[in-house]
Amino acid sequence: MRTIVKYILWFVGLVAAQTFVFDNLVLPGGFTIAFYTLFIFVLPFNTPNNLLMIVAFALGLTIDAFSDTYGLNASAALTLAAIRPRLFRWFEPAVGYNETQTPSLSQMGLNWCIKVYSIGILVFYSWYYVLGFMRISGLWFIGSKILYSSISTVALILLAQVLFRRKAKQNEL
Amino acid sequence: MQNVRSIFRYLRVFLIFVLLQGFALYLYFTSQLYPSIQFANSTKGISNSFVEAQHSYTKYFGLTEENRKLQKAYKTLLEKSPISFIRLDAKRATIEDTLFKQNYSYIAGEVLRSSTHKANNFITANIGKKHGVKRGMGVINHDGLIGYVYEVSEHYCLVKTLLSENINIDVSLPNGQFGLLKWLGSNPNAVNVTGIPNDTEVELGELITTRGTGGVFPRGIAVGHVAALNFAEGEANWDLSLKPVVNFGSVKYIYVVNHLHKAELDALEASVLE
Repeated sequence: MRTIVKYILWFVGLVAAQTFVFDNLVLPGGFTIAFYTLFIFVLPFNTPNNLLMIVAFALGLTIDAFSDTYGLNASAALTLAAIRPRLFRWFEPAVGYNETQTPSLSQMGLNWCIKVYSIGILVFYSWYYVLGFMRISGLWFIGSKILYSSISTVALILLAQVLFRRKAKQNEL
Repeated sequence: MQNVRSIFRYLRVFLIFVLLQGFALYLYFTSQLYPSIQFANSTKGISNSFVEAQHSYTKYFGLTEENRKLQKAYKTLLEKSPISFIRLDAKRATIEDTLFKQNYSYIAGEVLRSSTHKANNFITANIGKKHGVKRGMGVINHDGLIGYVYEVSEHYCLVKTLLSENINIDVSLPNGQFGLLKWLGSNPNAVNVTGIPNDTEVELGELITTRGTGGVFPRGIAVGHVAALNFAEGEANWDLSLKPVVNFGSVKYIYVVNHLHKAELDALEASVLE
């Protein structure tokens, strides 16, 4: 029960952060930061695939309602949720995953996180931009947007976890 | 048996993915075609109250700059008003002017939110049906052309800006030659004009304005200055690139154009086309 409340608070917090802060950033080259994808990564290892997809879809749809993108975020978030189990299987450590762990920076380490997050976000943004811009822009332009957006998003979701981890440790003490 | 069960499990996951993905793509693509079946956007419900709350904090940014622009616009208007003129011929009688009848009125609104980096960029404004805004009306500000109204709710409207696909607005050169405005999706500081024959003389820096057809925009609203001039591939046309006069990142106030004889104009055009 406590974990469910915790994840609901995460959900609301990430939607607020995305719509109030990251959607309003105007970055050079017009690339974007999909900070809310952090939620899809940090759901526990034992989350059923179906539930994962439904939650990701709901999250994307909420973001869409706030940013006038009509289903684009929902579609991309759903794709990310669908490849997450496969991604985790690819990078499974030799000893396997501990079911009590969560796929976060503090529990899985920087190396694992960079690999998994980068590929996941790259797939997310490829889907997002190809779908969003395919009718009006060239390949080179879409490619550069995918690349820059992915790099900045991965950097930010890792940074956010570093900040949160520190806070958690202080609370324990 | 084990195998069959695992196949079914995979099938179920796949089915849910296809269903949800289908729904998302349906929403995305239909919203581009028929704005009437949009499920939710920033003019409605809880999403709108978020936007409104955000605006209550951000509206004070850049107020000085905005006031200066308004002052300038007022000064221009004041210079045109009758009190700024003196009568040269004292014998001439005052005649009520029946030659001019007002054709456009404007509904002033405040911008709650805007974007510039998406494939379709919208402005949410605090005027809606209650203030007389209707779908398809033109939108300008004191600098120039912004776009048109895409969706209206009771108190709010969503404006599709020039930075959107299929924006297709009639624009014309100072010499009257007209073309079609498009956005190529890459740069918020560049919009394109197609359909101007390349035997027309075009100079860099020339101001392109609206053509004023269809009763959506008045004639002569500034759109942008010609920034680059190329030959369109395989056509006898120019490929013009404009720098818009409006900075879409910092639009604070807008005016929705209300053509007072729009119904009459539409009825006339429809009767000929049928």
